[in-house]
Amino acid sequence: MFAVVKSATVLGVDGFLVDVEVDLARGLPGFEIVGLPGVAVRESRQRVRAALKNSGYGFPLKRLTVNLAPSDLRKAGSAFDLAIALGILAADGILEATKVQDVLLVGELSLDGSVRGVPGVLPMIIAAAGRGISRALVPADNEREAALVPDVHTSIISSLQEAITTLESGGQGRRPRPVNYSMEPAEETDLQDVKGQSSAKRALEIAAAGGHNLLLLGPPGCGKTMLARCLPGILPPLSLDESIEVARIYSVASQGSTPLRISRSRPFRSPHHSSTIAGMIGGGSWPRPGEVTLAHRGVLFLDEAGEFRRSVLDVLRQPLEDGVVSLVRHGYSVAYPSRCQLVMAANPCPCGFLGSNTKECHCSSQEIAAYRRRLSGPLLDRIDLQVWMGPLEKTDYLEPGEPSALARERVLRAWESMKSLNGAPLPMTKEAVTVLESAIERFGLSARVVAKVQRVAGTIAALHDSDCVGLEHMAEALSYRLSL
Amino acid sequence: MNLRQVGAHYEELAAKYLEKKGYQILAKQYRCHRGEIDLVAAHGEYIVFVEVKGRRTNRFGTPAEAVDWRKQRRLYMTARHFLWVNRLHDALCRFDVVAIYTKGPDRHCIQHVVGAFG
Repeated sequence: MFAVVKSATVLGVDGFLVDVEVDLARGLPGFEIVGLPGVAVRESRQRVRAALKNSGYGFPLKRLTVNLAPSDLRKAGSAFDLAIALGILAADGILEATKVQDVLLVGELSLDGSVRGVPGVLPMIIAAAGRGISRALVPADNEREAALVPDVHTSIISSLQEAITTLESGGQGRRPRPVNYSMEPAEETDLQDVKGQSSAKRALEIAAAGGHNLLLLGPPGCGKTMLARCLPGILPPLSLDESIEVARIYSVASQGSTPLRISRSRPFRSPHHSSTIAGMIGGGSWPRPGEVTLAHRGVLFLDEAGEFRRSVLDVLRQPLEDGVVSLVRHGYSVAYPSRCQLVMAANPCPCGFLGSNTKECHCSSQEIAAYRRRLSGPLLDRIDLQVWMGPLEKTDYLEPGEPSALARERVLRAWESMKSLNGAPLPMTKEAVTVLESAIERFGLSARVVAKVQRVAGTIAALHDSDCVGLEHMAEALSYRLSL
Repeated sequence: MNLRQVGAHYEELAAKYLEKKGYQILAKQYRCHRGEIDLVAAHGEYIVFVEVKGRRTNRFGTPAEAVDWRKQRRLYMTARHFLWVNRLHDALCRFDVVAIYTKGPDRHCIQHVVGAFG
């Protein structure tokens, strides 16, 4: 009259195994779930009862207690439904207990007995693999995630009945189809559609090759947004491990029933400027990943950066530096990865025409100062490439641009050569050292800025196929820092 | 007939119906401070707690629907009291609803919902 089956829950981007213990006792009939269940878990009683009935199994008229162990870990979501239902059948002797133990069971039940997808299946299977569990049943909606972990023999199911027959037969069940990684970038803008702006395009290429942060400043309509949207098209691809890292985040953030996009191209996120702090770095009493985490290993693009609330921009400082966001909640903390590249586009002043030679700027100096202050010093400190984009000249419109494919080739070559160095910096020539030293003296650069300038100079040297950082590379790197 | 007499009449009909089906009636109108159970019967190894509902029309919902959450709670607590008093801690239990529709003088239609809730 007792059975225990395995399920899992998610905290942050990590899965945790949960033992679902089911006890059936005589006495007044009842159904109770203990072990810090959230609201959705408690409601699973109604779903399990109906799903069992509608799959042709009676609901036992006994006193039913379900314990979710470890009982001090909070459980949320509907992923335990399948495990609870199968645990009841095992405790009632309808299903052989040896056939369900040590099988990871994940899925939400609908009232008619079909199984729906849930968020976080990928980290759950990874956690199971880490604990030596070799068999899993997951919803067909989460097929792609199941295919990513070869260590666990996973079957996909679309109904409670299918789960039972798969377990009883002891056979393969339905195996997930292998995943084909999509290579297409999320955004389909080509560099040749952006007219003029050759110096900004050059900075974009450097940013893509070295993963540097970038600020594009200029009047409205000069192509800032379009240029930024070209970035995904010229970025180097994710490694296999990185793409699984990214898929893990999207698995946790997904709605569960939409199939996960598993891609080798880097994520590109552009949150609206009305975003809140919780939306940016993650939050909620039951934390969800924010935009910095969704942009992990990819690009976080803030269009109209000057319109963001200053507090929202400032919370980005620590995640950008550390590559991780730690959120502390009552009784536990979660860490979300946030290693992303920041790209910002902004107008130079509220009206946007400061520094333009075609239109006059009507902003007062106070307005301009207030506008600029939103991009605080410490944040600008972290932006390696700061580029001014002027209005277009007549001739720019006719000049044929270079397509993204060519730029991507150069970026890939530089990226590969830097990867082969394993993070070791390129040696600097004497002249480069002299220029850097004089810049430190004249502009009082902080230690962080110096380190970042050196990294940018290294990227520029790699783009030029050079084996050391020369004077021209260092000078160009310094110019991106000091031009504004 | 006043309301109480009507209720007693329906309970009588339900008891007769259950006895015909092989149930052994253990108690009628079992009361404690928590509430009241119309019929308690033994059926096989089960102790069955029966709520009897009578209706002339379905205009206000079916009789079975009329046993709402609060009523269920009250029945549950009373049943617990019954089991305690009679030292039946390890019994298998069930809650049934017997719905009786009056079709005319001495013409009834009886609906028996087995394991209605719990």
